[in-house]
Amino acid sequence: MRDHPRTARASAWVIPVLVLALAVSVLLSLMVGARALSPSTVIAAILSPDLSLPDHAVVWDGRIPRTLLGLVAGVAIGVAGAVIQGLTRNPLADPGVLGVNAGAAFAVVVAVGVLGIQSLFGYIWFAFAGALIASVVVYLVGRSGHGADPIRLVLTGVALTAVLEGLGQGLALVNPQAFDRLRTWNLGSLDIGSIQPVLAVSGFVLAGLLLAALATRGLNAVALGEDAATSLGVSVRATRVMAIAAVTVLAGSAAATAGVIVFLGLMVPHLARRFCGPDNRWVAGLSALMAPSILLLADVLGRVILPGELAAGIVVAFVGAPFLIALARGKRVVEL
Amino acid sequence: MSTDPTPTPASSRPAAAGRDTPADHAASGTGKLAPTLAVDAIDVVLDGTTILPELSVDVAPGKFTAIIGPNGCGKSTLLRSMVRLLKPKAGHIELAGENIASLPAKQLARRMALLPQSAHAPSGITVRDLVARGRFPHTGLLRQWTPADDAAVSGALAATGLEEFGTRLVDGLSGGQRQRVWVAMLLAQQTRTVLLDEPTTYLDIAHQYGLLELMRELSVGQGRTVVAVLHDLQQAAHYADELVVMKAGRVVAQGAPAEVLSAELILDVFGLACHLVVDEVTGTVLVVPDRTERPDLSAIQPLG
Repeated sequence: MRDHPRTARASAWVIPVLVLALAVSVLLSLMVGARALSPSTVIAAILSPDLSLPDHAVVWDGRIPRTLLGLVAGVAIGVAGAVIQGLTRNPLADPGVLGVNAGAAFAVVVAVGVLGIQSLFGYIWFAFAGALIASVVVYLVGRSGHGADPIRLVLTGVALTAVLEGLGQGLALVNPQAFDRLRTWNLGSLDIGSIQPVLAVSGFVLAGLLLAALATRGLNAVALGEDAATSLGVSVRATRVMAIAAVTVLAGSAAATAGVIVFLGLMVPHLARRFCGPDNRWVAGLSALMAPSILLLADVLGRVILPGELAAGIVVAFVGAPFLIALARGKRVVEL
Repeated sequence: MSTDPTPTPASSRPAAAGRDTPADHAASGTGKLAPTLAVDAIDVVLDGTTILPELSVDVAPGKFTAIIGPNGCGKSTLLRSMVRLLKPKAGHIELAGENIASLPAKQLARRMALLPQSAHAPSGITVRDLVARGRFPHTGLLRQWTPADDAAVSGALAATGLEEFGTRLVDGLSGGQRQRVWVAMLLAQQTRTVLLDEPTTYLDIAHQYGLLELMRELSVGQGRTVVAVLHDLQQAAHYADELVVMKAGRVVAQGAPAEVLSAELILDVFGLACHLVVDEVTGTVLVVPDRTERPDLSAIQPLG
């Protein structure tokens, strides 16, 4: 594969194969679980739902929400990962590097532990707001002449993450209920049992995707250096601000609904680059197809691998870690 | 002294294929050409230090202007100010009579391009894709890639001798080839005014002269305005139509190399005592340094 230099577009077969893989992942996610269903049962349940049938109830109450969440969160994390790596030109950057996940986690702890939010999804908007605030703080602290120097942003994000994690865990320790919520939330699970939260964030995900589409074009110029980008008529500052906004909204939406899913946003853009080269528009586009497939397959694997269930976030991590090692040992470490 | 053919007036030259306005080269009507770039009393301050104090300079249209001067004299700062990478605290810069500060970024990028000192090639990018990024100001979200863009990229590859390299990865190229890729990207931008910041640094001698020939041909053959920061006085004197000599943020001399360059000037600007020798065959000026004082190395231990 290394010997075939890729030009601006991926090979013709890549997109159909990825779409097919996504379709298979969605179908598997609807079929597999404690109660295994045949494809025909799944299709029947979707086309003519009869909720008195246990099989149909399983599809509508459990499988469809978690599959939709896998799709929405997967797309959001994949694109956020592509954008944050394009922005920071750091192959190790993941969407959490701006402090988004830590901000969301801290807000969840505050909502449950301090404010006593009891309702099942009451904390979602807190998580989302926490992600936004953390990202804005990181931007304001890390910004410089050209609208945020990526290295400063990453350092500030890592520092804020450490502070918020410490505070959050401290709060959680004195409040068992918050601790419980934080623990499950940190595992990253798709099993939310309701379609409402997914619908609630989907508008934000769409907005985030639009911002990402606008930002990735500019990121292709910024990737050549600030001087070259300016000479090409691209505003480095505007591009970076759009990219940061996209990552914040996308990663914040995913964190608010599915919790923290590590590794996915880190590894998928690398995988995408193998097929399409370094054009950020293509990396983001292919990531949007790959990430939900991987997330859904991880979730399916987690349902069958143990008698109980293993959260998707954990499965992604143990699939992702070997991938990262393989990447590091590859012919040449990818430099962005 | 210079063997350059006398540059033809810009008006009689073949029109450049750029999408820029012809006004960039409009003559003032009296026979004297209005400057392409008019830098008017700019103050550029970096981190609290004034790098360029009230600097004014005019760049003639369709000519190859070389900016020379010692390290840290503000050459690059001047070039970077011209493409708005730096914002002057006072004064302004006009491109063909228009204040660059008020031009939309994209429009400016269609008329003037800069080859920066340091540019970064993304890992895994092919030569053609990198050159294609020079089309940025000509494309957009609504104006997608067209055959004209393809033609511009192919033309730029051909002009830099890179036709065979289109599908090669930039990662695998030598330093000289890479620099040619960056120059090709600059050409793909199809601007009437081209700025190059120390383009010959890191190139071997053959590639240096190849690039200098290309810059001269861009101006003499195509009527583009070329401004380059150069380090080698001999190369600058031989290839450029006009020298801008800078020292400590000021322009100390400007004009045709034969009129400007002298042993006194080099001593004053660079602090190097030398004499100039004119090569009788080519008319090239050679800078021959006089013997300078022996460096005093007594502060370090002599070998065993």
